[in-house]
Amino acid sequence: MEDLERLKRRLERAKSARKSAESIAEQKTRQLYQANQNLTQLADDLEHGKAALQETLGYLTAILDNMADGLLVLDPNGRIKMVNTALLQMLGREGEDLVNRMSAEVLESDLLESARRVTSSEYNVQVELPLADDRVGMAAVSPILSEGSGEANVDLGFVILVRDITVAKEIDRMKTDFISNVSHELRTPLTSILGFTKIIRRKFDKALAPNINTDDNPKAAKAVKQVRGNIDIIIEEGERLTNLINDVLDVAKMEAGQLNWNMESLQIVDLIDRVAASTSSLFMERDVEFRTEVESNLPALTGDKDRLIQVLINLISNAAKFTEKGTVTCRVRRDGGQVVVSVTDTGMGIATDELDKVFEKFKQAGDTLTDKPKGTGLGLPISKQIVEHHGGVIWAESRLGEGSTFSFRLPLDVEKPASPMTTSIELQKLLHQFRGQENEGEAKLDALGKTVLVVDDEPNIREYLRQELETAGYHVEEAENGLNAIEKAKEHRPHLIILDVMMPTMNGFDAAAVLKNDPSTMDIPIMIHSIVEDRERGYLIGIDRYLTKPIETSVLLQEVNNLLVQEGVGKTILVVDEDQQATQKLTQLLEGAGDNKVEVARRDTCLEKALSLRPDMIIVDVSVPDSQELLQSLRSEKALAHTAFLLLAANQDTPISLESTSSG
Amino acid sequence: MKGVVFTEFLEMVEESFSEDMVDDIIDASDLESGGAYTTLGTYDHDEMVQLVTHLGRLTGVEVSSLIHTFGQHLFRRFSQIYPHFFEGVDTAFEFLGNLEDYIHVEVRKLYPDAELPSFEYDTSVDDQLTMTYRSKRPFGDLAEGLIAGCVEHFDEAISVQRENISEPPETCVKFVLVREAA
Repeated sequence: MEDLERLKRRLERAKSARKSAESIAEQKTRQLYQANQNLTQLADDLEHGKAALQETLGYLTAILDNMADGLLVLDPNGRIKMVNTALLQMLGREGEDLVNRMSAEVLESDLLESARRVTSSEYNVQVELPLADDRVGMAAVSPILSEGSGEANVDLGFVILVRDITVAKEIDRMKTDFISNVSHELRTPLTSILGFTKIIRRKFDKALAPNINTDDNPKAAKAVKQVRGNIDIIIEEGERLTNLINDVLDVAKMEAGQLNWNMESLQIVDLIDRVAASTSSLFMERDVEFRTEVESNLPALTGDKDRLIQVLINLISNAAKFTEKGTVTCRVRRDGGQVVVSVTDTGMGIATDELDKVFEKFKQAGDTLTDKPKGTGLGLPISKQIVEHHGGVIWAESRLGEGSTFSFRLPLDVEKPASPMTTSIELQKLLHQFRGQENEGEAKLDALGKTVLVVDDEPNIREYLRQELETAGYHVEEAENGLNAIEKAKEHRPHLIILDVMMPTMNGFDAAAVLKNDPSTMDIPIMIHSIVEDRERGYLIGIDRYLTKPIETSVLLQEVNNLLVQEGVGKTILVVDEDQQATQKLTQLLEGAGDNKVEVARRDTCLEKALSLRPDMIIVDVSVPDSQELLQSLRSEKALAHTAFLLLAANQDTPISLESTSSG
Repeated sequence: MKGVVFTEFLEMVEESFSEDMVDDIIDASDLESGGAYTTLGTYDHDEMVQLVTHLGRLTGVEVSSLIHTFGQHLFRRFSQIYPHFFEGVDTAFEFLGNLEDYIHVEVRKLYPDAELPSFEYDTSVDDQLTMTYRSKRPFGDLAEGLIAGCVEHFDEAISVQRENISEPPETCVKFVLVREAA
């Protein structure tokens, strides 16, 4: 019985399990049916979506293929993923299938290299790209970044838009050429105007004004004063016009990439010293103090000296112009592998929203209608271009009413140690300048009997140079073109030739090349005085000096004098020092700076040696006992009347600093 | 708990003991399902606890030992019923490593209502796999039996150490498997 009960219960359980299984199966079947329905719906939707997608794709393809600009899409490895019809036409590859080929095989330019410099989607890189038929394209490369999981973006490659800029470039070149030509044409008459006005001013001051009887003639006195004032205005405005033309020319050339850069190793400190000297008059005019704070032992940097000086002068003179009272401070400090130069003033300051505009062309901060300091508005944009060409950045910080700080940073040549040669190279120059300062009459004596051949096709310029040089005591010969110059040079054997570049029949460069290769004329120093700026070419031919018109009379005469004094470069220098090691170092330095002949003497033997040697320069170290007295006694010797004296002072910042002591 | 666990359990009881034993433990328990299990259904885990407890009482074998043995049996059956989970898998470590991210995922697709335990892995030591079992159910023994069944299946020399780190009501057991040098 019990077994039967068990069997019954088992049967019950089995029935129950079957029912439950059937019910679950039925439920699952319903779910399956529903799932099937859903899948069918999904398939339908997919079909619709696909059709819509194809339509959109067709629309987009039509847009891409009808674009005037070329379109190129690369994957991160530089494989071409997409290219439109316009680009195929630009590349002269209509009908070819470029997809999946490497961009480097297809394009002449390494776009991928440029593309890799692009790091964020807000930023793109513009590169020129050579196209078919000698045309030029501008390619704007942007990365394709997609937001991935987490913060990192997924790099999908690059999208590149190419525009044919052949015509635009040609127009731009024409514009630059036009500006260059106009500027050159303006500079030539301006040289005459400025030069002659200065001559008029000098003659007026020296010969005319003193001879006009003004004591009992108030009208005449007033006229003299007015004429003198008017002449000053002409010169001032002429110089302003010159600066403006130079600036416009600079901008045009930089934009066209035609500027020649003379990159060399240099010390920023030397530049600051020079700029400080040349801007000192600005600070004397007003109640503003100029200070420098320069970190010592900075490495050298590679740059164009003249251009960097241009930047510094611009920043410092701006600071001076906009500061009525207070200080202008120039700070130089090292920041890792870079040097940061900043110019801080206590002037009127610039409003924040104006700050961005100051580096834009032809824009100055402030109200254009109110009185504002004069200028071209090109100084800062030019500075920006110069700094950027050196791989640096320039920026401004300011608060209205509290002053401004303009700073720039430049990469330093960290590997190269600071070169002591800067001091030695300056020595030659110092010697010349020193002699010039020492006695102006002396220079005139030097000039006596010396002939300068002036070569220029413009009679006005020749006349101007003749007047200036004759006043300085030189004998002047003239020639009107290169061919004429060669004849005259052989005939007169001048001591110096001043040569223009752009002349009919034979230009200045060609004439210089002939003169420098002819044994009978090769030793004559040649100075180029031109509106054409191609120093490199000039120095390659063997030109001794290169000056750009219009030039300051005093600079011109100084250079003429320097060149004539330089005849026979080697100088005899007597070094007086008790410290043997220091003497040895200085001797090496001086001998390395030219073919200088260096002699060494101790204090007790130096007078005897100086009298027998009659050196061009005597350098006395400050450590020599009673060095000042010694200098005085040496200077009083008649036989040493033409000798320059230098007192060498020990200084922590520079290995050797030269301190010239003037006679008198 | 999935029906397959119950059907396999009763199957094992029937084979190891007798059909009557199956009746006895069902009769002794208070089961909502009435003991009518199908592989398709899902049942309260408490029913399993009751069945095992009564089996232990009626046979005099320790419950944990029963469950361990059942675990080994269940694993053998799994390898027969679900061979596709074993395709291309050559070692116990590999299979066990797949549990959380592959097998349980697949199980959930078929049975959205399945409440599965979770495993954490640590493979930072060479030839060693540390698995931490977490479940709302007290089946650490079953897990141990399944692991033993797995080791047996792949026929490897692996020692298993068990450390109970449960914090009630959660069951948490750390298994340290060390592959012995051949």
